[in-house]
Order: sequence, then structure tokens, then C-alpha cells
Amino acid sequence: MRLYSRALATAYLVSVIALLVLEFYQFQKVDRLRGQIAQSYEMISGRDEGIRLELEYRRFRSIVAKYALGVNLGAHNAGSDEKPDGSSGTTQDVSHQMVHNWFDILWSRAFSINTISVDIPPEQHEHFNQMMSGLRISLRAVDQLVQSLEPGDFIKYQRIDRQLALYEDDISSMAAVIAQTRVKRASQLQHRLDDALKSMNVMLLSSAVGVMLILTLFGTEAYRARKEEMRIKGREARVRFLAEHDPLTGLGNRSFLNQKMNQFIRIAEETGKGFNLVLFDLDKFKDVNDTFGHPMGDRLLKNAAARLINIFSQENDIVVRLGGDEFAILQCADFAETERSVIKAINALSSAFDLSGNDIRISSSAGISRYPDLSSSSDELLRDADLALYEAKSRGRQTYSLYEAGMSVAIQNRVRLEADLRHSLLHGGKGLEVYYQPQVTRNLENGRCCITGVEALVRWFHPELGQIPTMEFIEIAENSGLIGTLSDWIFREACSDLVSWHKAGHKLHLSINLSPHQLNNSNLDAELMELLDNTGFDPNYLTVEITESVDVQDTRKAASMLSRLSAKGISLAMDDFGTGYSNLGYLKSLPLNVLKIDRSFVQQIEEKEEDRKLVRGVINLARGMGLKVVAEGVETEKQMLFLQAQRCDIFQGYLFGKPMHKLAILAMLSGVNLASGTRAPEAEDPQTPQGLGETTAGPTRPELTLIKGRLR
Amino acid sequence: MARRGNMEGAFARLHLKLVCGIIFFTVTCLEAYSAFVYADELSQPQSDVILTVTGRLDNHNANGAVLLDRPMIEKIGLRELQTRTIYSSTPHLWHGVLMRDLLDYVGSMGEQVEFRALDGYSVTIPIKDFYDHDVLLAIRKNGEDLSIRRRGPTRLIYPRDLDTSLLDPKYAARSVWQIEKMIVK
Repeated sequence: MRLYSRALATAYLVSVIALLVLEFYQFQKVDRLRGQIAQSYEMISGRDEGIRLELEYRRFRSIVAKYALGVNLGAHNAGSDEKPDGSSGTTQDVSHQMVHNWFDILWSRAFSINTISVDIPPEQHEHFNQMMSGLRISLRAVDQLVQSLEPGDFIKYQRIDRQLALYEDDISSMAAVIAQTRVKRASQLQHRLDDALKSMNVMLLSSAVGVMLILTLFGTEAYRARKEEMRIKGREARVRFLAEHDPLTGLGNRSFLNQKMNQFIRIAEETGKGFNLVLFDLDKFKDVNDTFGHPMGDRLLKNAAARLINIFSQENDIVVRLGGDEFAILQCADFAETERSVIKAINALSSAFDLSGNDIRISSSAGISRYPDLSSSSDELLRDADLALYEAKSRGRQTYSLYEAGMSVAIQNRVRLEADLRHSLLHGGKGLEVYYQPQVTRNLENGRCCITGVEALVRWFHPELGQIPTMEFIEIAENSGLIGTLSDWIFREACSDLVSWHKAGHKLHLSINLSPHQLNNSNLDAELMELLDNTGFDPNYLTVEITESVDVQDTRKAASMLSRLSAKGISLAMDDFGTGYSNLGYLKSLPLNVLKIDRSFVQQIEEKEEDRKLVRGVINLARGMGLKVVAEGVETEKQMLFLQAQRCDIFQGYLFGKPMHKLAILAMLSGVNLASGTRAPEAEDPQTPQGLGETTAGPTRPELTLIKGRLR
Repeated sequence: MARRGNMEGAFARLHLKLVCGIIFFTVTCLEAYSAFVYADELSQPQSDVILTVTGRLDNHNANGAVLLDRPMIEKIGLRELQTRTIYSSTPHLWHGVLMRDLLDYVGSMGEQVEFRALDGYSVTIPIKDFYDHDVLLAIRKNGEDLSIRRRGPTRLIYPRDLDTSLLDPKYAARSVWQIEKMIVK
């Protein structure tokens, strides 16, 4: 293609240059011809001296004859030239003055011809030169006679005429020679003119051909350029469409939304009419993808898109897919109208989708922001709609909410906490603490409790905001991708603490929670083992706790990863058992060692028979499957006694100790464990973690002894 | 109403044009008349007339023509010029008036001048020549009045020695002698 256009360009250049050269050459030729024609014209015009000599010679002789003899000698009259006085010499008398004048004219002519003109062949130059000098001598000779000539003076006339008659033949033959040369010249000129005309023809023809050639070339090029341009335009349009649309649903994409949003904002500026941005999110769409596969998920999205388009079908409504299961709608209407449409859409999306015989039901949430009343730019619109969507989801799904100003404060707080948490983790966990809650067993015979393990729990003491609720910052960490780093940090801290305690002789077990996000990391076992190696912690003393969660993307992968952990000697505990959907198949598929009964069951043991039955059943189930049972949230001795009666192995709860600083645990271990007391000291005020070192020993001791005494 | 207004406007414009036209015509007529009445009357020749100028002239002294004798020509402003001609290989001193001065004197209004010689020769020369070059209407050669025998009484001398572009053959044809009459066209 490039070669072709280059060749074409070269062809243009060459042809244009060739034509220019040709035209230039032709112009020069025409100019030369013009000069030649002008010259030729000069040559045949009356300027020539030889011919004028004959004319004047004959005129003078005729005038002299008329004057002297009073007769008209028409034969001598050489032409139609007017007489010097403007009258015709044939009818009027001739004055002496006329004779005089014409003699002078002939004289001046004869004396001005110094050289014979080019019209005469060179071989005759000599002859005519002699004739001319003879003529001059004769003119001198007759000068006096002419001056004194009078009418009727025949003798003088004869003498004059005889002198002049000598030259008649020669002057005539000279004129004839000249005339002949003239004829030749004329025919030459004719040839030249013919040539010139032919040349003009050629020139015109070549110019026409050249112009045609150039026009054709340019026409071809213009046609080609137009075709090329149309092709490029078509391609551009296609590329633009692809860039602005989602290939699956055919709806616009995020960049299309941004473009339209800016356009809507401009229109709103001009007309003063506001518009709404609605973000739709299909709840639990991921489950559909996981359960039925991606092709089904794609079909669901298409159908959902079609339902949205049906509802938002006004001319100016814009429906786009932002990606995943998120849709956005721009509607130029007041809030009430958009609200009605959103309610319709949520209802429409909640009715079953029939995909290849499967009835699939999903719910959806919507967040609405509004320009210019609530949000004042496209970025704000998106952010605020997102906040409203978040709000709608947190209020329970299948609903919508309109953005309110307060929402952004909450989000700002979140953003700040996220940044601070990131900063803290980058600086070795400044402000973060690992707290430990004791897990105890009770000797049935002597009723003595013994700390056998601890559950590691993270706490965050923010330098300005104080203690941040653990649930809150764990969620932030999960959503911002910091959970891995945070978890690493907790593991490392806890393991190194436990290693030092082991060295001190306290062989405690360590339980640590794994977040669902970590379960998605199939490489977790290797990372964990490396960490254990680095800290020197014995994997046999480690229990990782998992919960039932929908957030685990690939349960098979997670199960195999957990199996590998189990093979390394690490125990696996199911946390919060009974609060999730308690899938027994899930229990079976995992290499579990421990089941942890949720505190909500334990707390009701004393009051409700159902809970007692439930707990009994769970413990039996666990024992049946060969699992150890840990009861969480044990707060009273009665609860402990009931659980022990059901042969629960391990207890954890405020009765034995809240989650506490490692120094407090250490103090407890060195004091209480030996004495096998039960009631652990309260954790120090978590708001003042810095004071732990000093305060641990003081207030805990007396309480320990007191409890010890009571229990005994 | 609007249509009538339009027509009134058209009439007004036509009227204006008519008035302008009449004024222009009147002024032109007056100018022509005054030119006719107040055309410079040139003095009459006192001795033999050696040159007649006719054609498109502002000034005249004989029925639309200008008749000139030797003193009248001299009075226009005699200039001298030393140059060769096509017939002489030695330079001569020529006296005469510049052609453009002569044309000014007769009030020429033309573009070209036809020269007629005593022997019937005639040539037409564009007036541009006389403004591009100091073309002399010579009446004396080497201090002597030109006679017919010496190619007088008047002849055109192009300053060939001062400007080589005048060697072009067309200027040879324009070097008229024995000039009897000029016709301004």
C-alpha cells in the first residue's frame, strides 16, 4: 500500500515536471516564432531601400517629363504612392517645387544606400554597387539642369532623361532580384508559419493530454482517498463503538456513561433541568456464575439488561453496563419519576429468569444520585450513587436509596481508616496489638482449670480515634486488600510470642482466624509454613479457625489447601458453628479437628431447654465425627458445669479471661497456671495499652488469689 | 402596504439614479464644450509649413490640425543629441524637439502616431516609445537645417548610442525621414 502510494506520488511529480518542461519549451518556441514572424513582416514591408529607389526613380522621371513636356507619361508611373503634396500627379500640373522635391528625395535615397541590402545575391553586389556609384555621379551631373529646368525646355529634359535612362534596366533588375528574393522569403515565411501552426497544434494537444493526464491522476487519487477515508471512518466508528460499548449486552460502557453524563450536565446547565443517576447491582450474581457457569451468568446479564431497557425506555434514558453485575442509568426526570421506575425495575429484576429450564431468582439494589441538587459533577454523581447503593445494600437488599449528604462522611471516615491502617502495617504494625484469650480445660477430678491454649485476636488502638472496633477495621482491611498483610502480621506476632512462651515452658496452643479472603489464596499453606519456619513455631501447636462463608470462591481448592495445612500438623477449627448455614457436607469435606460452638448458643444454656438440646446435639455430632469441641462465650460457672457434663473439652470466655495483652497472659501463666486457678484477671483497660507493663502485676494478683480462694 | 413601500423605495432609487445620470451627463457636456471653446488656440505659422499634425488633438491652429513652421518647432524647446543612425557609422550632433514635448504641445490624446514621409513611406509608432526613450524630432544636423536632400525637413532620431535595446530592427523601420505629416490615433 505504501509502495503504491509512493509510486503514485512519484508518477505525479514526474508527469507534472515533464509537463512544465514541455510547456516552458513550447512557450519559448512560440516566442521565437513570434520574433521570426515579426522579422519576416519587416522584410516584406515597404521599408526596403532597393524597391523604394525604383519607385522614386520612376516617380522623378515621370514628374520631370510632365513638367518639361506637359504630358502624362503613365507608363513611367510606378505605383499608387501619393505625391508629396498629397495630390495625384496625373491630372494637375506639376510645379517646379515638386520637381525639386522629388529630385531631392531621389538624391537622398541614392546617397543613403551605402551597401547593397541582403536581399540581393552576393555575386550581383559588385554590379549593383557600380550601378549605384554611377547613379550618384549622374545625379550630380544633372543637378544643375534640374534646378534650372523650365517647362518646354526639351533639350535640358533630354539631357536629364538620357542620363537617368542609363540606369533603368539595372534599377529594374535590382528591384526584380529583390522582388524574387521577397517571393522566396514569403514562401519561407509561409513554411515557418505552417511550422509554427503545427507546433501550436502539438502544443495545444500535448497541453490537453497533460491536463487530462493530471486530472485523471488527481481524480483517481481523490477517489482512492475518499474510499480510504470512508474505510477509516468505518473502522473508527467500529472502534469507537467497541470502546464505548459492552460487547456482551450491547449497552454502553463506563466511558460512554462518562461522556453522556457530561452531555447531560451541559444540557442541565442550559435548560436548568436536573437528572438522576441510578446504579443497579445484582445481588449474589456471583453465586449464579459459580453455580451455573459463566455462559449462564452472561445470559442472565443479557436478560437483566433487556428488562432494564424495557423500563427505562424513554428517548433520553441511557442504560449502560459498568462491568460485572453493575448497571447505571441516566434519566432526565424528577426524583419521583425515577423512583417509580427504579421500584419497577427492582421488581422486574426479582421475578424469575428462565434460563435453559432453570428458574433463577436474583435480587437487586439501587442507589440514586441527582444533579445538580445533590451532586455537582460527574465524579460526584458516580461516587454518591455508589454510596447510596452501599447504603441500600446495608439496609438489606432488594431496595434502593437516594444519596444523602451524611453518607459521604461515613465513607470519608472509612477512607481515612484505610489509609491509617495501611500506614500502620507499613511501619511494623504501630498501634496494632495481638490480644490473647485463654482457652482452658478443667480437670474433672479436682475441678482445677488449666490454660491449654490461646486464641489470638487483633486490636487496633488508633492514635487519635482510640480503639477501633475490630469488625470495622477487619472489614476495611478485607475490602482494601490489606487483609493478607494484616493476617501475616498477626501470624508473625502471635507465633513469635508463643515461641517465647514455649521457651519459658508454657506449651500453649495457638488459634488464629483465617479470613475467607485468605482461603481463596491457594498458596497460603506454603506462605504459612515459611512463616512458621522463620519464627520457629511448631505447627502442631497451631490451629487455624475458619468460618462458613459464601465468600470462598472455590471450595474445592480451599479444601485441598487446608488438607495440605492439615498434613503439616496444623489443626483446623470450624468457628461460629451453628450461625452460618451449617452445611454438614461442608463439615465432611474439610479435614476438621475442632468445632467451636458459637457464643449465642452457650449464653442461652441456662434459660432455654432448646439451646441445651442443641448444644448437646452439636457436641454429640462433633464427638461422633471425632472432633474436639470448644465452647465460646462461657461466662458463668453454671454454663461451664453444664458443658463439662456434656463432655465439652475446652472452654473459652470471660469466666476465664477476656482477650488480653500478652504481658497479662504471661502474668496469668506464671501465677495462675501453677496454682491452676480458674478465674483469669480482666484485661487491662484497652484504651491504655501503653500502661500495660506497669499495671499488669499490680491489680491482677489480688483478684487472682481471691478467685482462687473462692473456687477452692 | 409592505409591497407599496418596496415600490416607493424602488422609485426613489430610480429617481436618484436618473438625477445622478443627468448631473453626470451635464457635467460631461459642459466639460466637452469648455474643452471645445477654451481649447488652446495655437499661434499661426509665419513661414513655410514643414510639418502637419492631425488626429486626436486638444490644441490646433487650423481646422482641427496643427501646422508647424521651423520657428514654431524651435520654440517648443530645442534639445541636442549626439548619436549614430542606421545609415551613418560616425556620430552626428542632432538638434530638435523631443517627440513627447511636441505631443504635449499639440495636446495629444492618442495612443500611437502614424508618420507619413514625402516619398509615401508611412509607419505607425506607439506613443510609449517617446516616453521610454528621448526620441528626437530632428530639424538640424551638425548645426545645419535639414533639407529634403539631407532627409529633412524633419526626421526621427532614436538615441541608439545611449540604449542598446534600440538596435532592434523594428527601430530602423521607425527611423522615419522626410516627415511630412503626423496623425495621432
